[in-house]
Amino acid sequence: MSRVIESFGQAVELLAAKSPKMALNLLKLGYGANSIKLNIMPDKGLLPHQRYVSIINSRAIRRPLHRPDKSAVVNIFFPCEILHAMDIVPQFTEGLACYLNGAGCEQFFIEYAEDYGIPQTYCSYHKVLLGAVLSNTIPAPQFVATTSMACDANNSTFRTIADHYKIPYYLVDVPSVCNRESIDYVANQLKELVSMIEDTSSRKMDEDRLRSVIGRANRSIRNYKEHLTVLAHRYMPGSMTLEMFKIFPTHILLGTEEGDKFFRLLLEDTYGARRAKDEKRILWVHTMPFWQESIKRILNFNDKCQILPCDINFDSLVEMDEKKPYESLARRMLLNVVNGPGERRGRRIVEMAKRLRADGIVYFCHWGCKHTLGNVQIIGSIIRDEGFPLLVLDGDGCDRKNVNHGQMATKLQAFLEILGVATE
Amino acid sequence: MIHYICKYTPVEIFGGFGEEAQLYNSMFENLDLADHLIHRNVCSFSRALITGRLHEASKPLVLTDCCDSIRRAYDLLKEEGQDVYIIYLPRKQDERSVALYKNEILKLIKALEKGMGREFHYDKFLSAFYNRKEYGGKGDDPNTAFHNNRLCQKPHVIVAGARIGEELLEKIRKISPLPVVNHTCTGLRSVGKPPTGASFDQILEWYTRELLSQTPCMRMNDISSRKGLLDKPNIRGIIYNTINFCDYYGFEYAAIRDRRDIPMVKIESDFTTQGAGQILTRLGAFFEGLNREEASSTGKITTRGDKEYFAGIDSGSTSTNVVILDGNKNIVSSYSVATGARVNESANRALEEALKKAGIGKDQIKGTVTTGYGRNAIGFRERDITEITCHAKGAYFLNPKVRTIIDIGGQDSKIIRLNDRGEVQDFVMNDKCAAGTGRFLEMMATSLGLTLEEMGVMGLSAKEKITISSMCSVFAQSEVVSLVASGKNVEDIVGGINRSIAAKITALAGRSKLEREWMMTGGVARNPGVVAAIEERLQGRIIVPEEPEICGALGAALFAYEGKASYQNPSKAHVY
Repeated sequence: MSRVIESFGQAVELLAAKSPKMALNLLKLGYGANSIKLNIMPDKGLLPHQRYVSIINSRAIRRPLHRPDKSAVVNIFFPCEILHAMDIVPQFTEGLACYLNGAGCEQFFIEYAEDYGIPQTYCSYHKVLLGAVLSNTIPAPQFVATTSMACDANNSTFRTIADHYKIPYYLVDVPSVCNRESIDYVANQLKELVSMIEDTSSRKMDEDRLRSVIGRANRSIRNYKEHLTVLAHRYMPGSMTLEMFKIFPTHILLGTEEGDKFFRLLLEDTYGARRAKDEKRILWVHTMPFWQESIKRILNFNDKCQILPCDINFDSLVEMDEKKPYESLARRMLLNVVNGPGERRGRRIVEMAKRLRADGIVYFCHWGCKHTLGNVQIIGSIIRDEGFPLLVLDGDGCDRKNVNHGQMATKLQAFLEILGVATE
Repeated sequence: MIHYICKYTPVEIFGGFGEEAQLYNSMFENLDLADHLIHRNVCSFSRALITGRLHEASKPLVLTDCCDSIRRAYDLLKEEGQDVYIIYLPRKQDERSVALYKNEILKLIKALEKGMGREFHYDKFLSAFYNRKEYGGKGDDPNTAFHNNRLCQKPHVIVAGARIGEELLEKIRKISPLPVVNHTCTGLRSVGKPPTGASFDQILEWYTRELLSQTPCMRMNDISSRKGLLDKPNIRGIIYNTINFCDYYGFEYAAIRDRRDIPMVKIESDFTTQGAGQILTRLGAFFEGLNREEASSTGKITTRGDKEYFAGIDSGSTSTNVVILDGNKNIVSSYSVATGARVNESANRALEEALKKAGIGKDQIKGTVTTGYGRNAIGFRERDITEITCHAKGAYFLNPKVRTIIDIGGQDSKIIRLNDRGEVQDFVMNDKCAAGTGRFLEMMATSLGLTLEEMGVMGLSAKEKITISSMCSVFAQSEVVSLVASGKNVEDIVGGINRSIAAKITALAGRSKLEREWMMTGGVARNPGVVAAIEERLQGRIIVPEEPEICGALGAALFAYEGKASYQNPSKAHVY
């Protein structure tokens, strides 16, 4: 962490303890200044899609902070197409937590949540969000909405936020099997959710607009799939932060014009990238500890090592039927590989590893994620049976205090050495 | 017999196959078997379930799709070729959810028919509803609504929160002064009597509604009806149970933990019988606080002649301390020995040494009270009292201004709050983690190649403010090694270690302020660096008694002197 960020984070933490409103203002100021820098002094070493995603993500985080009355806090798997069609800006758990980590102040919020009584064993992304809410640093959105899929924390976190701010809350209950009955079950809930938003926001859902958002999302998914096919034989320099950045357009910004533009730029950059040589291609499972210096030193912009997409970025590349928006959104959620048995996620990882010509797979056991931790044996067996070298890496995607830097770096470096990457 | 784990399971369906239902809730000595199959950081119950099923899996198991950990347990057990079924349990209770769950139940019937090679009998299914005690049947599971309702008519203690292992519940029932009612998620099952003259489809719909309309567990969407659970009459104490790495119930506890109207203790189970020991220590202190009758009859101290002596023995995990008082409550002798593997022997040895030091015979000891982890294992005791109560007694005796005791021992640390009469107001203990304990300091001293005494003074001369960021002892140890490798001054590293302990200790107290005066007890109080670091955080001076490690033994000796434990007024006891 740079000195500037460290000092900025300490200032936010100090203010959050005394005046949450001032802490919020400082955060907005910091994110705003960063946004100006990204626009007028972009990092010239980055590819156009990488520069662009930094800008749109920063905007996506700032908007709900500036206009909470037009925003909703949601989870990563929430069908945000509905919100985009109703001009409601989503703020999501992992995104906000990562940005607070990026501002060097996540510790205050984690400790605040734990002091409140949130279990230490809870997912740190959720602890950061809860700490930011319970300390009143983050302003109350219009409502909160979540899905039950993959992550048990969603129900508890979002209910707590709704209770704290006394705002409406909606849970989309997603069964683990995709069939006609479960599609109807979820689709009907999505319609009920829209009614709740209409009541809460006095906005009407324009179904034509929803269809248009879904049409854009489909185009983005097609471009992204094409990118993945081309990427199999290309080398694109990247970092863990940039890979994590993609979670915005593949999830909460999917269906927006910004998201659409990102995927166009990504495809152009992929076609423009040089052909792959003998770099070792690493596919990552779950989120990435983008902030961790010891891991950054090994992976980021390493021309001997290609960071392939993390599996969250190809969890649900399912195109939708614009004529049946609710059923399609429901189907897409049900078919998400993090929903249902672990074997589905394992098969998808292996399928993509083959398609992207991965040389090795890192399975990141993010603290508190029972889904990923619980699947390590089943998915690990599937990966090994298919002949892919596997590294299981215990760590934390967001909590600086909860990792063993030395051990993690040694494990990752040794794994790359085994694959034949000469490291420092 | 078919096993199940969740109260929403349609267990009466098992009756349709002529099978009885048995709640699977066992604890094991350790969960090593599961560790080969699933990460340690998933819910301990699901790991216990996997462990148990790997030992013995002759009976079918029906799971509900409760949470990520149970889904993963299902995947693994299925992979192991076990006879295991899972049904999707909706999180809502509306009409759509009823339709979905009804269909899941029908699918389960078909799956069981196929799996067991037997037909489902509607008449047997119906009779399963009448096979319970409340309807004149033979079943009398102590966890049924019927049994609970009967106990709730008189003063009782409830166990609330997450499911509790049957072995632990049994032990709690044994040591509790009041009847214990199981109000955990699995203890609140209640399904009524089916309507007569209805078709199978109608009965099934009614049954689904009955299942979904039970008192909701924390995994359900609408939990508003749980709010009244703890407000029932006759509840004299609440044991709030959580499970290691199951986070659902931590949220409910966070919402209620500041309640002061009913004494409450929080426990966290890892579903091992090994882990139950510390839980029972906490509960011992909690139950002492509940014992109102005894409290009202105490307080009269008989004046004794100076030829009679009283012994207090504190058998801790690291050392055993003995204090001997005379008839005027003067400390005539104290002695410490390492506890070692044989608790009874070390206690005997420490007592004999203390007697020798005082120059008195064993026959002059008129009362012996034991405390500490090993208190139950000392055969010659007259009474055992938890270290919580004894520390309070000892500290208040040493200085009646004390309102907060910070006790850092070898294996655990505690914060005990006292009222102005020296009674325990509430207390909090660290979990099974070495951070913030004497063991943590030992590990760090080893990493630095220092003795504990050297380390005690070195931190005072720290210049650079180094932060040991890892809260986990093992991580912190490697962090310290890295700091040494990077050339940092040992004094500064020790300063960082001391601040890390101070942070852990003050974090134990949570949101509540630690009221002055503070007294530090336990062996770590002899470490001036740690004391200074805690003082820095508290922004004030801490009282450190001359012999901080004997405070518990002193309290025990005082209880021995008084002839019976002067238990506190329990109305505000509240424990984390």
